[in-house]
Amino acid sequence: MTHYAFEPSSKNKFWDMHLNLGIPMRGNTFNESWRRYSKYIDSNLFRPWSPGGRIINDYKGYDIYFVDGNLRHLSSKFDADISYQMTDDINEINFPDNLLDSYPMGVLSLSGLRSELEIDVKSNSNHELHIKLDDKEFASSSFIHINVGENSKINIVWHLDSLESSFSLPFIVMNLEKNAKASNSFLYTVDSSSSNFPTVFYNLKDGASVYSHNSVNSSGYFRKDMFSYIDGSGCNFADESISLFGDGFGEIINHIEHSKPESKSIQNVRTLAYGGGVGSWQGMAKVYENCENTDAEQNHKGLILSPDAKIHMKPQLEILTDDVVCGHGASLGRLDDESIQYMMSRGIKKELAKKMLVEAFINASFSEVNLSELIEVSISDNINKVLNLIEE
Amino acid sequence: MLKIENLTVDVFGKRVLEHFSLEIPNGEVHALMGPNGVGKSTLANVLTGKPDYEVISGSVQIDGKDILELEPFERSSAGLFVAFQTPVEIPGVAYQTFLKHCLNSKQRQLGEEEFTAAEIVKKIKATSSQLGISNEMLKRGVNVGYSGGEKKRAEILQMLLLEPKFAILDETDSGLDVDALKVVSNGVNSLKSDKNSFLVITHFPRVLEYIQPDYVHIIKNGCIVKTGGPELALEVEKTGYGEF
Repeated sequence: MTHYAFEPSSKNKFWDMHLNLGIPMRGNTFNESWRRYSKYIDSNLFRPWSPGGRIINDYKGYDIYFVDGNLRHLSSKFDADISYQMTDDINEINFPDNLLDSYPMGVLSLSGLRSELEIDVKSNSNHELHIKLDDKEFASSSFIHINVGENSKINIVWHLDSLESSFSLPFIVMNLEKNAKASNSFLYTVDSSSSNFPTVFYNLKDGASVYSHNSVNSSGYFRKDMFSYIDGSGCNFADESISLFGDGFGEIINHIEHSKPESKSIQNVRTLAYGGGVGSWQGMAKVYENCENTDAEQNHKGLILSPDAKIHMKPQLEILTDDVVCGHGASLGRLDDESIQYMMSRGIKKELAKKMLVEAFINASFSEVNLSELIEVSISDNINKVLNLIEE
Repeated sequence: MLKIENLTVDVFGKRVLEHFSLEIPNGEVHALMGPNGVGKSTLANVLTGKPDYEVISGSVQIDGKDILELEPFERSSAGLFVAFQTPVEIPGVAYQTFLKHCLNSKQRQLGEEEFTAAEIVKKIKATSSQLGISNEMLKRGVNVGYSGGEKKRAEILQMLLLEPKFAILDETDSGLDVDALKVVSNGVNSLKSDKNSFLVITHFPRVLEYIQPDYVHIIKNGCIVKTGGPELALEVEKTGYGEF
């Protein structure tokens, strides 16, 4: 199995931030760091994996692979020769040959405390995948590592909408090799009695591109950290987030680093707060030396839907190269009374007018990206779920 | 039929209409003329229920129903329509989507079945082509990036689709070239029937060459000071508003 180097240099300060969370991220490779961390964990917590592996056919036309049990390491190559391999002291389990050839689109339904899932997407391949973390144990301190090989494309819908446990930490790391493409659609739902801290890392090589869409609905405590390291030229990185914060507190932290020239990144964030909800966004685009023609943009818009709601915004740029195009914008407002009045004068009820304006706020400003049908449908579903929560 | 009786209105403590009375039977077009700042647009805004306009006294009825007691959206379904002088821009709400909501909101209020998407598209296309409104314009945000003339056409399109019992055209002629004025006027004239009535608010008599009024009223200091036939508009053209 190929291990993709994820070597933070001394200038990658965000790894230090990660260390503050108690996760040893420095090391020769990201994977090895995790292994060391895994050994640190009391081995009694691991139970033998019960293979299960059953397939059912009633999930929106997708086949579901239940990975049942607590895994220390799971590796699935997106190849004709599929093997889910356990490491060290746990037995190796082989799935039937050509499994993913027969079922090229699937749902991985994962469970298990402090599990590790590693997915290698072989070069020059194209995949769509649902990953469903519907077991709160899996979400806690588990780790998903996805290596996307050269010229490959993967579209993933992450189902994180039933993470109800507190202090859940699903770490997701995606390494993209040369000219690899990835689209991710995340949906997070956090209820009022929960806290959730998902963290996503991206590492892009030359010509790689990422489109990441996040829909968040939280009335508890939510914090999402996203660290992206653009370690190649000709890369495109786009992160788009829609967050709706109710009576709880929500934070979105986007940190993007450009270490090579000629790459582009955009953070396009929309935050809505209602009730006593407080939303916070911190964006950072850092451009290192010798990164000419970098284009890094941050765009945040906030919409406050009730008198007690608050939104904090902090766009930041740190630029160490002269010849770059970088910009940031942040604005905050309420629903426009004149627009509501105008719509009402045409027979539209106030509640519907508000909903239309919220939808417009969300839809008006996202960049036009060619997405797969899977991702587009998922985003549309996510947005509708958020819209349906707007108080009438 | 519109009936306004002794309407007195304050805006931020300042009196803008005082004992204003006007009656427009079905099948008639009336024009309301006057210089700037005498209360013409105030009348339109009060009737739509804008919140800053405080009705001190009086009543406004459409077909015998007092609309001042109604919510703004209910006034629309009671048959009121105002083509605004400067309609707001609503980025992100496609004009066609907006029209769909307008039409189906009216259907719901009337207790009738909503239109299907296909029916709505058909209705919109038939009417928009009459006004020279392009498909591209229908896809844009409501009034976003529209020229002055396009905004006025868009207002008339809404009016034709909603088929109100009583419509106010608030300086719909302002900013229109002659050709656009003809298109807009033709749209208004096509809706005229013995079941509805219109009030054309304007500074200038030119629009009244295309939308023939039955009566012309001159407003000053918040109330009507003179009423006459179409010849009154020509008199204004010659002498201005000074003598009223």
